[in-house]
Amino acid sequence: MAGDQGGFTLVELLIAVVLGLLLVGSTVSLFTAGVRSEPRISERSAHIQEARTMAERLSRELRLGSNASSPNPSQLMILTYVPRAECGNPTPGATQRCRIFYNCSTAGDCTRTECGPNTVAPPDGCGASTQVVAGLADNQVFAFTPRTPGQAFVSTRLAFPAEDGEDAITIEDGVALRNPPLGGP
Amino acid sequence: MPGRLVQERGFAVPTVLFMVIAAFAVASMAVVSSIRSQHGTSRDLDTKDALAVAEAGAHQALVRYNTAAVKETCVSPQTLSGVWCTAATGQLANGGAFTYWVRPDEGAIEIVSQGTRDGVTRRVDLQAHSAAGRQPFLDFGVIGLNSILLDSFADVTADTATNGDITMLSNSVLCGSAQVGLGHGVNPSGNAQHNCGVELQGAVTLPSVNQGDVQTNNDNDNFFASTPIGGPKQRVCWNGFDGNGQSSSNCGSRELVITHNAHLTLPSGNYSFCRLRLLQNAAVYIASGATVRIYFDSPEACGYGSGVKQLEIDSNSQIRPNGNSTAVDVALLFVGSESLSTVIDLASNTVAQGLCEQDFVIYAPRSDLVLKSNSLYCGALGAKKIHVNSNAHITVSSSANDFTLPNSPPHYVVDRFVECAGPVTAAPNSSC
Repeated sequence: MAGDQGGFTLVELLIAVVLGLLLVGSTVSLFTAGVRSEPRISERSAHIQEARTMAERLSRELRLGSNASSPNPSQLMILTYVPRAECGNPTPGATQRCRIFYNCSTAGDCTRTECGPNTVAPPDGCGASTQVVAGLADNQVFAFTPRTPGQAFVSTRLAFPAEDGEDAITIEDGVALRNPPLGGP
Repeated sequence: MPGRLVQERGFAVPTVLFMVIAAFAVASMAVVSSIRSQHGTSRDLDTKDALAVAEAGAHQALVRYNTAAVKETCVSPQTLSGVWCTAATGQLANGGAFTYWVRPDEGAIEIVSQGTRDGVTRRVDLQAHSAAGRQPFLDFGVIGLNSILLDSFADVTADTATNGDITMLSNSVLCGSAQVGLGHGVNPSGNAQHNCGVELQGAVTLPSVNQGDVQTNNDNDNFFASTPIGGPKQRVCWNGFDGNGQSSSNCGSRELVITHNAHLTLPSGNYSFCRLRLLQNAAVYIASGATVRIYFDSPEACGYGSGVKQLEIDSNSQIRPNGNSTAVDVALLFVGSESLSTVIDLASNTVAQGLCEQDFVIYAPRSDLVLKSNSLYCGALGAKKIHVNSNAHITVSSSANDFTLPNSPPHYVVDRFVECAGPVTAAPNSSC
């Protein structure tokens, strides 16, 4: 083997170079595309994670709710139990009844506002509104089904649009309120 | 040249190996990403399952304690340990397992149930009160579960409660404590006045009417042998027959219809009605010292559609004690329906217990009540919605406040359901 003087022919070298260039080119292309799309994918992933968290929290609040109303598919009010020292104050505490308002805008983001149980409409008696999800395809999120004798079923639908060849993603859930209604809205 | 081509020297092997490794790396990343995503999804599903399992345990406990003969103690084989009964466990067909703890108390019960599914644990806390022996008018003499509307010179002298608003229009007057639902209010307008008593916010409930076996075991046979009729007998109709025993189309099954100055006297008993109509100066007198319970069956059982008037008192008609008697105890109990609306209509100069010295109760948690046109009512009122109109007056007798709901269901009614944080560490209801 050591005495073997045979080298590579020109054809072999050309093939190797061409293959190498193709491999490097495709790798660089993939890498560049990955680097370019990473922020968008990360943002989308974060939005979807936010949406899952929101859906989970919303389901819990609905499950523990006694009253719910939805004047339109972009708004929802729930009178429910939350573990708070005080309604509107994020400090954890003993479970108490608060009124929670969700509002989704046409820009595709939703806010959550936690208020005292007697609050009819924010902001009186409410904590700060916080954004709980962004990047939705539309604000048609809530579907409210009243049930006799006053109980309700609320379904939520968080739809993310298709982007750059990726499929649209929709997170859906539905919950019946478990606590007896207090009457009124 | 041909010999060189068959040799394995050159770049072919390392190039292929490199490409295979690169392909494996890309595929592995995709697989890991997919597994991570599916892990979140499966955990979400397990969380829902664990909650469902915990709820199943809570409801099993509720059923066991509802069917127990003796309340306010642990159900065997559970025994009391401190204030909580010893834990009970159960297994579901889907592999979920639950453990529940019960804290029985006087007229109430608390159940904590913990469900586990695929290593995910969730806990729920359920509080319920017993509806048995309840005095629904102890705190408020007039209760409209959904709303109360006072219109056109209406006058209510009673402690009043609703879960919605109390709307007062056109010179109406309310005297007494007024409790409205959370986020609701007493809304006077047009010279209306809430001129005495405080305004409160809170929740009010009325247990459903449990008529037991009164559909078949009742005193309906009193008609007409033991129910003296005054006036022309053909103007009194019960269960398809008039007072003369002749077949009549004026009333259907379990319907009592009295018209044109006729009246009838009811002795003590439990009666099962579908409908009662008093028209044109008609009257039902209650015999001296009598205790009368009239159960109005559900519209479904009576074959009615939605919106039926099960009690209709019109045109100077009355329900009142016989003569100058005062010692009567009367309750009209409406079973109602969750799907078909039912109406109680007291209209046009009607008087229900006008002397206001005895117990007289209308209890209809699933029916709407309308009082209008100078009607006068005294006793205690419980209905889904109450509309007091056109110079109608309501006052509450003190004895009506003490009315105890008969045959109230011997079971616990859930009034609070919450989820707890984490599994049980100390007391079963810690962090709930």
